[in-house]
Amino acid sequence: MTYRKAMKSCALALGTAVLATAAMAQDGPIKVGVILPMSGGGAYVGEGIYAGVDLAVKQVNEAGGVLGRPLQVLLRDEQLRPDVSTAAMRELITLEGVQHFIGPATSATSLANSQIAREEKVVNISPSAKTEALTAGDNLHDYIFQLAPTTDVDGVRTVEVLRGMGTESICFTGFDYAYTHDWFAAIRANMGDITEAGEFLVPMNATDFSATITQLLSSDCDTIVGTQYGGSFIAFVKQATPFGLFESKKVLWGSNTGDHAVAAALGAELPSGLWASAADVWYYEGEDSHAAYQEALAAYQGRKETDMWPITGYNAVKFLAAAIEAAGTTEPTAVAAALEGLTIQTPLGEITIDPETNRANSPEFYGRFEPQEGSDVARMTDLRLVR
Amino acid sequence: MTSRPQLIFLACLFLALLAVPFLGSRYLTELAVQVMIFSLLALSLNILVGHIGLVSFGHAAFFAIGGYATAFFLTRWQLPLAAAMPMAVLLAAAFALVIGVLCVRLKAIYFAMLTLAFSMLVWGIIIKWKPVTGGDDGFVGITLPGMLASPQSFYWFVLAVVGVSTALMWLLSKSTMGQIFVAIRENETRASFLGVNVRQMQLIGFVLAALFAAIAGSLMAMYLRGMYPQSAFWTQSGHIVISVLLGGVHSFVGPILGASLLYLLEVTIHQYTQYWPLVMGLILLLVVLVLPEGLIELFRKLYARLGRK
Amino acid sequence: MRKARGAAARCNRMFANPMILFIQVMNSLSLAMNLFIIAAGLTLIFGVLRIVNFAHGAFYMVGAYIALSILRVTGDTNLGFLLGVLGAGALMGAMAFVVERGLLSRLYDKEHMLQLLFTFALVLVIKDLVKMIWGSGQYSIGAPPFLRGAVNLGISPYPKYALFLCVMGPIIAVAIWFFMERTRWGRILRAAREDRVMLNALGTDVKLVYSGVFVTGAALAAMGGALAAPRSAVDPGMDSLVIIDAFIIVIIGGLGSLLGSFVGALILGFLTVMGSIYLKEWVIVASYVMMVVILLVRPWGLFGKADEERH
Repeated sequence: MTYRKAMKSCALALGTAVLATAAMAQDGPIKVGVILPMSGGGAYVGEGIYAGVDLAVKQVNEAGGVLGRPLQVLLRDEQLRPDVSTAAMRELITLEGVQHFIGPATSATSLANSQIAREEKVVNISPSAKTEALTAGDNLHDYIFQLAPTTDVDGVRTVEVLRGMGTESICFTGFDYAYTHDWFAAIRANMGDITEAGEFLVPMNATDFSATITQLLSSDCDTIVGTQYGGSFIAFVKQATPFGLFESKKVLWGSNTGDHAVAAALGAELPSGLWASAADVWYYEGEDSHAAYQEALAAYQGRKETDMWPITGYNAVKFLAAAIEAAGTTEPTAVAAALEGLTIQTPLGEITIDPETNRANSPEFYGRFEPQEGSDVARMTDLRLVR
Repeated sequence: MTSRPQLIFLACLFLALLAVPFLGSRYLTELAVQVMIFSLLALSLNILVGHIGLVSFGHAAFFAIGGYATAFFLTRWQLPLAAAMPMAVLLAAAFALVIGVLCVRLKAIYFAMLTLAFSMLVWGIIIKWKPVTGGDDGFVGITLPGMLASPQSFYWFVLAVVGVSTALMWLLSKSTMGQIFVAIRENETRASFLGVNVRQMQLIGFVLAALFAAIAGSLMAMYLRGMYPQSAFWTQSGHIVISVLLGGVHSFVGPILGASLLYLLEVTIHQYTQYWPLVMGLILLLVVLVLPEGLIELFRKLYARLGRK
Repeated sequence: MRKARGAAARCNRMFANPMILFIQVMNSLSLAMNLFIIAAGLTLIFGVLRIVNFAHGAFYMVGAYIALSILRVTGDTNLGFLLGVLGAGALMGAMAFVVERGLLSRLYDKEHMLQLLFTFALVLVIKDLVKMIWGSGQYSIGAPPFLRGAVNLGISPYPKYALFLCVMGPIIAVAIWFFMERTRWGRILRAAREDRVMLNALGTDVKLVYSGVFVTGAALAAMGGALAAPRSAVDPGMDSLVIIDAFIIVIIGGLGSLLGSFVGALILGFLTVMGSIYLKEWVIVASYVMMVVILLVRPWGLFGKADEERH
């Protein structure tokens, strides 16, 4: 039975492949490959980015599409594995004829897919990966574009915030992976007379942070800078709070922990006074364009308290659509050329892709979490949008 | 299953694979490359599981070593393929020798556990040794030899390597050594009474299995233009074990069926639904309950029915 | 402001302040007990059923999610938490019963490898079902109100909940030990571990025994998940994080040995905590080195049985 099913799938694949290669559609929808983590620990990021992509695509299509053609999203799960993300990209290129990609979400997968983009000459916009390596040195090529602020930029911004916090010495903690090392290096490069009192890293799949917490408590720093993200950040907070860590030290966290979903998950357990960054904050009231975007996103997600990640996918689609319009064609080399130096209006203002680095000057929020009256969920105060 | 039907199957398979590049679909060509590599990997594990009777949960380690070493030799040392690939495979075999000596002293589940432990150790080293392996980001970007640059020529190369490897493994299974392996699986004590140095034979089998796994890894690294730490993780080893079990351990071609089906399922299911793990799991459960001998059982029944006509 | 980096400085500070050392020992213990509760079920299932249950992490995950849902209904109360833990065990146990009776029992006479494949497949199914029911977001369960905050252990505060785990671990260990050694059912289980054929011949309903073991193991895993939840997040990645540790413990302790998993949990707990101080992020390699070394010296684990011809 399963054998027959496999044969049918084979036949289907074969037939589709033959048709696809025989007729390279010039009309019809513009296919956009979207490769994101949709299962496992990274799913909340992938789903968030996808929500933004889907919303933007709907808006673009309702406004008449791009060059008169609608955008069509082909979504694949990267599973946080480079072999899977590259296989997905290759499949979309060879089977579906996709020439424009958004994603993947993380460092390792983005680096891997970028190689494919270079070889196959397809456009690849990375909405959320922060690793400098993606667009540095030999890895930089004409077809890769990085929208999220890279760790070197983060380093500068973070030190500014640290000075504002009155920090004099820092302890570092985090997962032992590239983002941590890069961001800490960027902070160290910029911190000037702020001193360092120790670095306490844990392996990537660590679940128990009590040893580190105890070390942090007994260190001489006044501020802790950390990178554990998502579920692990939640675990860290829950283990650290009873130790009184957040009472004796100031805390600034990376990994876009200003995500409202994190605050909602932790509720009253989120330490007040925690400084964090976020790609988007739903209750920010600075710009009309942001309010309009939030209204649409709230309608899409079915709740007012929208997620942080959608804006990255949203901007990626906007950039792609604008570039195809500007180029007047979907041909990847032309679209890539159009992306370089392109400026678009986004919910948080103008963003430009630097033609030298293929990086965008996306803004980011920094703020300090404080509990709110009449609500379990903390919000960031002292909120500033950093450009 | 007896030799002749399997040989016929292999021959037909080879002919079909010869035809693939001429179908004009790059997608199919690359799909076939992946299927061939995973089939080779499954066949290599079956030297241990099916022939000797030792289930290894650390087989991915040699796949990874083969891949990383190939990536390194090609890209950092800029060696020609003719040097890089054999060196990578020999390196993996050397590791297998050391690990194997320590593991084959043990039986069954304990052998499995120790191989698991060793492969996780390999993974840990890969993750930490960033200057050489790229750490958690993986080894990204390989200097591929010019002659393999096009999908077609890469396909022929993979077909040639996998074909020769399969032929060698087939000959091995039919040889005296192969018979000895089976004897050991059937009854270790009796085999040793008959004068077989069981430990030595198991070690040889272990190294040979690792060797072919490393070849698969080498091909994979070239296909992926890189190598990633997940390739050494225990879930990858589990994946190989699943494909062998799925196909049927007590036949030569079973692993080919299992690996192919598993890969094709993975590739096609997620085109239709986001809940691909659920569908995969259900299909596997179905196979386990309905075809406990593996897919090969289906073929046996088919063949038997054909034979009766 | 001194710049105090480096292992030597850490070491000095550690032993200069025995309080810190003491706290780290407490940390090791609470982690160990947390892990033991999870590993106990795994070793039990292997001991009697001879099945390597790869789905154990998935059971742990389901337990945490069930507790989450129960707490949403009862609210954040002490009773709610108790119900959450017990409910997790009971519901997971019930589901395990259905799975075992309906599917797994058909595989007992077949090759071990098929049972392995079965548990692998079970993981895929369970994970997606969890995703379907609860979504992929992250959630958090707090400690029950009476276990929040910290007690003052001299110089440093120490989390009440962590202390609770340090106490719960041994209690559960003793409970299981008592059950196995001092009750009739326990004797039957031990007999099933030794020789199931003989047991069957003696008229005991072995099928019931098997169900019971699988259900108990699953329930223990689920309760472990609920108990661990106040110190971690409830999210889709939690099963893969815990299964590795559970396996390391059970393997080095000896498959099927309760004492082995207790000691194994202690070893891993201490290695993880103390190791992360001196080895920092290299501790991950250390755990596998330790596993390899123990298996080389005693392949059947520290407290496992040497012979392996039972079926």
